[in-house]
Amino acid sequence: MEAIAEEVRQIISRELEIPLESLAPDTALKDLGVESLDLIEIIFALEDKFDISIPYNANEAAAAKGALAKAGLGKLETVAEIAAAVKSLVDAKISA
Amino acid sequence: MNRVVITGLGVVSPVGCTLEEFWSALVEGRSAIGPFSIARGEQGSTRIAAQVSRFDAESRFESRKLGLLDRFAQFALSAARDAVRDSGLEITERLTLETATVIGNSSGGQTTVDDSYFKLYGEKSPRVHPLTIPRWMTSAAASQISMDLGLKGPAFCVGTACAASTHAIGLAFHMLRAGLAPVAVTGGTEACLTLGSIKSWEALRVLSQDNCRPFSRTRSGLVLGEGAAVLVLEERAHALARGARVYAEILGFGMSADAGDITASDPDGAVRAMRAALKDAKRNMQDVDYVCRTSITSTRTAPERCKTTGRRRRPCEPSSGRRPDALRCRPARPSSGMGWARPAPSRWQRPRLLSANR
Repeated sequence: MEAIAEEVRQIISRELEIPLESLAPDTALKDLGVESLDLIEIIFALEDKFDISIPYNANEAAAAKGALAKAGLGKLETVAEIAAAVKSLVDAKISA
Repeated sequence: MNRVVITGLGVVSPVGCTLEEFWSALVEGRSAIGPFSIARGEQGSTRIAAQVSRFDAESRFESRKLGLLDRFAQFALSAARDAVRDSGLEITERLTLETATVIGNSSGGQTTVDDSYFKLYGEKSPRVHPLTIPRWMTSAAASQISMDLGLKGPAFCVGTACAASTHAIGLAFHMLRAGLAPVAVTGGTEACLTLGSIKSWEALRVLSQDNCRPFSRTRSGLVLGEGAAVLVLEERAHALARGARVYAEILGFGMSADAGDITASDPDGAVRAMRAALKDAKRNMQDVDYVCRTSITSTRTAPERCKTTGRRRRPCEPSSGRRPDALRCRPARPSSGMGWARPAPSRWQRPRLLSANR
């Protein structure tokens, strides 16, 4: 988990062009001024890096019955939440 | 200034390719959103769209002409021919020289692009079809209409994404009102259901995987569609002199830009456009009986916070405190059954409203 979490943190840092130190696990991206288009670029970079598909729909981001929830994933609001979703999808890929 | 009326209509839509089919589908609330079929479609994950499925290009165009027409130009030309036929207009020598052709389109010949690039990158072919460029350019639809109908006045395309056909019709209206042309063939067209286009929309994370319900709190995104709609606009005096059937008169047109976000629309922009249209028409808000919500409620539709109050507001709610229902009516949108035919969802509303007057 640590290795994936660290890579996720580095990708977020690189995509947002902000120092790695400013990203703690509980840092909420919206507090950094991240908008919808920034988030989908981060998701794209994560999908490319880990060869996974993150079922994120910008219209359902906050919906309890959205695509993320249907896939058994939590929200993508903090660094830790994003790392957990990536970990879950990587694990699913390995077990498949 | 000249008064401007609408005297002809033509459509190629997912719910039908004649005015009669189109209108009966709207009256019956029939949706055309469902499974669709495109080349290499299995590589996409989107399973629904509003595809034009009953359009027989071979029966509408001779094979030699068809070779020059991408699907988006086929739709436009077919709708334009139908609109001119519907208007009963005879293209006289004067009209040949002065009639304008203004067509909204944003994606150009996507089918041509997709097939050409697949040939190049997928099949490693050293060359693409020699007519790739004339099929693909966004101005092709306007040019093909101009050539087919022999219209030698101003002919151009407008490429302002989901507002393109509205802008095209608005510009044509202003040209006629100012006396720059006596007649205009105007509207919008799009055929962007290709693997490359759909994958790009999927990447933007805004496609719905279940249905199109633009004003629902549980909306899950947009559904792509395709088609064309074309109107014949005519100077009112010209139309009356030839005893033409007049569907409606256009009184005013307004435009605005948000100068804000590239994908999310600002309701204040819509309010300014509507106010500009009312001013242009010399009418008051109280004169309006019906608002047909054009375009999309924005590509990205997560509720935005009002910058001044911090309150979340819905995509269709202006921040000025005057909501659309100050117009004594509710906004409606016809594309929930026809998908979002990107530059031109707004084109559906005009044949829809005008068909009711037939």
